Amino acid sequence: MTPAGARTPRAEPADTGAPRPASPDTAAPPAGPAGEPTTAATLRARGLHVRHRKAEHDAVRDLDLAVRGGEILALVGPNGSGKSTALAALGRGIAARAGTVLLGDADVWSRSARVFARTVARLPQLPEAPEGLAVRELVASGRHVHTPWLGTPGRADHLAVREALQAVDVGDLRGRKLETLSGGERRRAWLAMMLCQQAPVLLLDEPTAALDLRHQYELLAVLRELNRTRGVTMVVVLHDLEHAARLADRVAVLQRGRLYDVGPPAACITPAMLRDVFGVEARIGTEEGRLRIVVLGPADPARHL
Amino acid sequence: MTHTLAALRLRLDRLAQRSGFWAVLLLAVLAGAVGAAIAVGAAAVPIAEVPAALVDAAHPAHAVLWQVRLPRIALGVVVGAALAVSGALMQAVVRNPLADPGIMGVTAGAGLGGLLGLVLWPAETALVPVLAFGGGLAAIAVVLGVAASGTHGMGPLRLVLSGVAMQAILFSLIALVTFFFADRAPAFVSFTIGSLAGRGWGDVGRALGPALLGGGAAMMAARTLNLLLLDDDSAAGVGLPVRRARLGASCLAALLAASAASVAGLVGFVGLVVPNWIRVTVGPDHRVLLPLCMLGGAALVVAADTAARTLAGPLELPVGALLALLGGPYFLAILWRRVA
Repeated sequence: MTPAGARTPRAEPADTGAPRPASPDTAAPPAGPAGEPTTAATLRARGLHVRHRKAEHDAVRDLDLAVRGGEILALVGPNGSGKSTALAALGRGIAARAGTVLLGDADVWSRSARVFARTVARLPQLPEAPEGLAVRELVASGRHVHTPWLGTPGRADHLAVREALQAVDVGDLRGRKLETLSGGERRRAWLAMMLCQQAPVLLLDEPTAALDLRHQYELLAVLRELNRTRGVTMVVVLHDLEHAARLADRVAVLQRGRLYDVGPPAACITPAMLRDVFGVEARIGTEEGRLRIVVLGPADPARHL
Repeated sequence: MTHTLAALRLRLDRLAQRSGFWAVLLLAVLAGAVGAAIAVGAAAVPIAEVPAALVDAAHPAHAVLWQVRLPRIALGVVVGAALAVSGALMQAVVRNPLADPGIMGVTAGAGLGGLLGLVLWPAETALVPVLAFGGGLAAIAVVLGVAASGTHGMGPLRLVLSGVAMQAILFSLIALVTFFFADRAPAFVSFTIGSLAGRGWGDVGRALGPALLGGGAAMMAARTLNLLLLDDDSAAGVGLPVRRARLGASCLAALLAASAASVAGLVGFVGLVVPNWIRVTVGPDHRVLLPLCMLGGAALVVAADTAARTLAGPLELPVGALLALLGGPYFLAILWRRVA
């Protein structure tokens, strides 16, 4: 089952999930949108196996992966490599068949959904909202974890909503109905909902999917900005390797549910990886300081055509 | 002149968006329906004489009003409000405007439960609402379970089909029970066509408790219900225990539908039509939607019942039949407009 080219993930003895030393990128102390310091609790998968209901094989196999505080970690891999499943498992969206996911020292399932969501916010790939919902109302849903069950939203909540709207630049749209927005605006509205939750860890599933070029890069810039100014930790599933290289501090490459490699983008995104995992011959260079991938064609034309 | 007109129109638009406007409007409609229901009937009481007839025990219409019309109106209010809120809850549970306690088999389940209580333990009248609740809950559990078993989640088609199948099973069971226990279940012969005829204050009391409990709990959970409208992953992402919330809302919906079904039989489509109408005007926020559904459902059932007992002259039509005439085409219209 293990493909010929697979190798064991780079050994990372220091990879304990502890916050990494402040680099120039993340010099600012981690702080939530309201200025509260964030907890350094991070997510860690240990020997994680995940299988979908009515499926015959595990979508994620024996995954060991630690998210470091304050980093942006991109999950990449071809279709069906288990990256969305891995993300969902990290965010207690799907239960493990074996192995565990830890938040700090505790199993993610040991807390209630509400308590967990104070630390980790998760946005699926295609979120759905009811017709007629205004942007402001959607964003305010992010305050659920901070509002007592029978309480009404107070000053702090209104302030958080306003800040979140401004952070992703949708303040002008707050009264608009969601269905009247463009795809890019809607994606940012959802992002605002997530920010409003003020969780120090964000899990995002393909946030740039189905957006046009400008909106893709705007969204990447917003995420990078949030990470730099507020120290928000992010795990982001990305389809586009150039996006991953641009956004992420580290890249985790998944292949058929297994971790193929994890490390800085420049070390992970290599011609050998593209051949092994994505099945393409490619040349990798840099242009304007950015990673550039030129795909030459399928690695094994007879198999792929 | 045109300027003031434009300004006036803007003000009216703003007013229409405000939920308070709709609350007042629906209250007025409900008051009108109640007034009409008091005044018209086999023995017409002129509106001007209604207050006198209500307080003066010697008035010829006094007994009719207090023992026939008022309990019937009160029952219409309770049943209508309970069904409308039940429908709104079920639509939130399945995130689909096609959900309704009738279509999903909850009313039929409650009917079968109540019927079994009546024929098996005729002396234990307190058992009837409990069994009705259990029956409704069992029906919704099976329907939701089957509908959610698909790999792509709970689509409208799976939902409606499993509801229809459930309803068919329950109706045949109801028919069998009424056939074998015809002597013991005379009131349930007309169960499948809901009616408010011949009900008294006792029936109002039986329905009121569970209706208040369910309606109050639903109002308290309004914010949670709003989160349930997001997709499951997003709702879980903002910290909602989705399964538990859905189970709780289903229980409340079953309780409300059972409270209505145990006294009025199968009154369909109130739970479908009312929340949909109100959602179009005030949006999906349950903190506004639920109270307006109570008013709208009450007004609709009281008005429909009044129409049902006066339209055909000395004959009384069952209100369930009239509402089905209204709701069936509405259901088809939703299907017609929807793409999926």
